Amino acid sequence: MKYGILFKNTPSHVKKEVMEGCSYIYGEISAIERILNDGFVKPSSCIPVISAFLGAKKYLVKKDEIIYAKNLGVKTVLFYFDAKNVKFGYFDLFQREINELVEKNNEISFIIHLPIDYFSIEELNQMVGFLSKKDVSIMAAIEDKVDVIEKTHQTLSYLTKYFDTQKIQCLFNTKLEMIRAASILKANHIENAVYYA
Amino acid sequence: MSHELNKIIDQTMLRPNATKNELEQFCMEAIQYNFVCVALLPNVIKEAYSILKGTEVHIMAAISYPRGMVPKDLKVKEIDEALNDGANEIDMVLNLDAIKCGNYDLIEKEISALREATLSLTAKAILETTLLNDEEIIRVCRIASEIGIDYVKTSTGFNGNQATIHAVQLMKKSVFNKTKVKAAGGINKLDKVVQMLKAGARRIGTSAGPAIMEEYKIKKIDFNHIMTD
Repeated sequence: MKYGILFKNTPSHVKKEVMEGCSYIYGEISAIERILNDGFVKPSSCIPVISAFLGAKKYLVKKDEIIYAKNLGVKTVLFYFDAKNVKFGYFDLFQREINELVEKNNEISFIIHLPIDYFSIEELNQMVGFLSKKDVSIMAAIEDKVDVIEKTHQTLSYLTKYFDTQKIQCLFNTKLEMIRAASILKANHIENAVYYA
Repeated sequence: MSHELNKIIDQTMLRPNATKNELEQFCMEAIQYNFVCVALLPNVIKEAYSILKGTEVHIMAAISYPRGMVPKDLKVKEIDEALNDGANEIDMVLNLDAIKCGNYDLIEKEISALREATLSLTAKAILETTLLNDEEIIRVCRIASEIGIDYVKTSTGFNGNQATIHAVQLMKKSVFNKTKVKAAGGINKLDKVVQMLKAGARRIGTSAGPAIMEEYKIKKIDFNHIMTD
């Protein structure tokens, strides 16, 4: 299994050896640009995060973030969609955001951040059903301080009904939580996991 | 000058999973208490404007929230979009990594861009003081004051980052000209509001505005002796 880090704060708050020790580094575009300029990571290991961490920007703004990210030479971006569209019942706008994203940027790969706990099961079914028909990967945010193993198990049981396991990643609050859930990830053939650093 | 508590509260809702009903209720409460401002994410400004237009309540958009690590020009675009949608106050998160790296040229450019984009509207620069040391806080406050930003703000409230009395006092000492201090993050009771005002804050960001106002009605604290400026 490969693992990555997502900057919870800034690259300055993460030790260089932690960055060098992981397979992927996720961060906002200026954070990624800075560590690329510093020269100790390669573009292939860097994944800019668009509209981190809430997705609550207008698509016009996100579009410019994607253009900027592409110019950094990266091949993959992590995208935070606008949860408002689903919570307000504007499901057509959710579909439009994802369609525009995928159809107009076919030279790069997209990982869609999925904050499972934001949504009801009805909302999730609708969203995940739609996303499973797109050429995207999913990063499921595992938010559970009580029982991260059970939460990971439940999340993967659900998502694997819709997606191939290679297209699913899990995002944990801490490295410790990721390690605790490692056996569940392995049992479900999940190849990539990420934690906030 | 007489000070009313509601006129220093930025009633805040920065949850991306709020429903339409929750937003409507939030805005109606802001009208009821006549808060100076509602603080919202940029994607709901248009909906908030449709409810709040014609009232005294300002609409603030949180730009580049919560970490601020996008290029300056993209922040300006986000500001322009928010203003077009009806925002009339802007709180912008500064590039925290640039501050940590000592890249104050970039910070100066960001704050100047914020000032230019907002013209005479109220503009606030967010520092996230819990992630900065005193020297960094002082330096950014001075830059913001020189540029003429209306407020420097302690925290985003994101990930549990909260305002501290020390940060507010330090910021108050470091600002000059017309720049004031906004305290935000973890302020959910009247006594915390009083502490922040005593430390030098002149705006309070909170998601607990109505509860604080109800407490204020019972305790009837006179703010005029605290806020002498």
